[in-house]
Amino acid sequence: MDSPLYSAFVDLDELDRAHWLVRFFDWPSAALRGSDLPNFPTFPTLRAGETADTWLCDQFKQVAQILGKQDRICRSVVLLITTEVRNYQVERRDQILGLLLEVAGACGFAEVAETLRGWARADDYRHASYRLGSETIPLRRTIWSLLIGWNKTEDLIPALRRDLSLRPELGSEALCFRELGRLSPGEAIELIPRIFGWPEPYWREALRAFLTDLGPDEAFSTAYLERWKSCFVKVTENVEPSRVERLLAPRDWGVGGALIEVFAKVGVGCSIEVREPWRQVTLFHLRGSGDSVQGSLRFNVHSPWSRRAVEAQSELYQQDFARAYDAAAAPA
Amino acid sequence: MSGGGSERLVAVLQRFNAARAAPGGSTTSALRLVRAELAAIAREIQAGGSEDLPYAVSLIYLVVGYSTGVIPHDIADRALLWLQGRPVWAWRSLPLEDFVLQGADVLESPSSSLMIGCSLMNWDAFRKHYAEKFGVPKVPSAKLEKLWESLEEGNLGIADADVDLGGTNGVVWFTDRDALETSSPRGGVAESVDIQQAYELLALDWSKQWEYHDGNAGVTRSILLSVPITRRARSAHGLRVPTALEGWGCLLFAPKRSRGSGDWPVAAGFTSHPLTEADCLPEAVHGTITAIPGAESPFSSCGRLAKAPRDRLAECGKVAVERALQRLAEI
Repeated sequence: MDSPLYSAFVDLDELDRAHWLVRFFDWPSAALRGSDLPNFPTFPTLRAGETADTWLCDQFKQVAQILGKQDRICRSVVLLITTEVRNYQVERRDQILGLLLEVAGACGFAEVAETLRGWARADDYRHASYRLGSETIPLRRTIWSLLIGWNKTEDLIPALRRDLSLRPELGSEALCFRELGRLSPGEAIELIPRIFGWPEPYWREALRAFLTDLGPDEAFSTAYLERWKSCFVKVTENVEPSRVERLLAPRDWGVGGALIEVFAKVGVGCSIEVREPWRQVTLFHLRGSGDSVQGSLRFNVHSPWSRRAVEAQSELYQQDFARAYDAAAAPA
Repeated sequence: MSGGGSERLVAVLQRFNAARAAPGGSTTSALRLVRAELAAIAREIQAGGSEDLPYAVSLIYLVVGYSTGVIPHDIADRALLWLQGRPVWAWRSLPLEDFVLQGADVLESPSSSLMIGCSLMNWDAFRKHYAEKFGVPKVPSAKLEKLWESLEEGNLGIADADVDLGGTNGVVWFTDRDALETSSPRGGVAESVDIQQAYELLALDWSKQWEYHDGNAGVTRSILLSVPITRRARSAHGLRVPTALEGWGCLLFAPKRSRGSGDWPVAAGFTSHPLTEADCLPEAVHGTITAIPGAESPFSSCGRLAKAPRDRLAECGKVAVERALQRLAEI
């Protein structure tokens, strides 16, 4: 097809249009085999770089000025998604659903949100994926992308937590972390140690965005003090005490150094000091504007190779930084 | 796909296959049989402005690559057989992983440590492939716009493992720092490559693209990804094509020029740019690229660029066909 506008399918009867779309999305190169829908419009030929979903999005855009036609495309896509394409014999259901979700996301068909919420809650499609170009995309990642983009994740915290914690293969951890951070900041703070396992560019950005969204004053308020304590205990948990310094020290290769940078980006100064690492103190200071110390997290390392090796002490106080520094330098 | 050109191209392909497989047949004799007709059809398609043109060019390069041995015969055989009996535009459906990711390994150039891989991708491709890695939904939203702002501010990087210059996210070329300095549109290193000029020189055509969240139809956003790569050989490890997918849909190109053994690459399919012979512009076909671990943020520049205001197919078609036919005539 040469013209970017191909509206013949839009004028089909509702069920026929859905049928036509299913066949086209099942095998967009179906023209290779000839259509099995002889009385329907022929399938369009996709241009280089075009896929069935981008083609349909383009049609949606093209008919924007024609009364009612956009609605027809929307209704067909919504119908197919909400019925999970179960009314048709297809070869690649997950593929069709995935591409239809791409269309729904790009065109803003939020009518499918409740269906997607049900899938997210019930842990549906956890093994499903579809191809987009050369990439294989887990269906649940796209489901989360749509729900989060549309702010439709209320009541889905358990599902977010589950996919964040248990399903690294979905590749949706960053999405789930940021959304969990929005809905339940305390839980997200406790999960920060987990994100250190991601590639550094991603956890840096996820953490920066989380702290920015929450606001540094809120993030380091007393409401989350215990969460931060738990977070840093987890960071150093099961780490040989002699390696704690390496882990947390503010050097290029340390998590501590990266944390300082991330905190600085959101306007929170902090310092991490490690002294006598296999015996005593790692101190983590958070500073607000100026040098006023907003929080202090102190780690006492007692004995090597013990799950109880790390204990955390924490306190919040307002005093000048020099005094806090002296306190940190003193033996615990 | 309209026009009789594509059907005739398929017929030529079938004759080429049959001639080289016949008892006593050879690639040379098969080529002799189809060369003139192939050229005539390609010129006809080009003159007619048909969208079959990229496929005609691809077919010529496949035949050229097969005949010169640049493309390993077993792979070319399988690709040809797969394409036989299908419309010529079925190129785009060629299952790349099955057919073209198995090219022979190549030797590394002594200068390999200086190699930089570059990819110019559009914002739509970026949001689809990378947004979620930063925890941002790929659907249009304020969060997505903030991601773009972070990108513009230079605050983002991607993990080495996700540097897939050979993907279909954008058009890709490889160069070394010296060549980039002397041949890039504005001179200078990768950081100063002008994305608008790169877009023009690469003959990309994003004019058909609809950015779902960007109302300005004449402008699109682009990201130049350039990253030092450790091993050039890896980039040519397989015939990962196409490169200029969005611009040309060409699946199999041949090298601009043959380079000596030991230089890179010596055994793979390459892409040749229709508009320029500049050394820094695309010539490579690539598999997985290994970025230098800990390399600095690979997004060296990004910004808005004007989409092609005219039909790139017509604009670039004549040059592309002429170059392909020249290669055909040389063998």
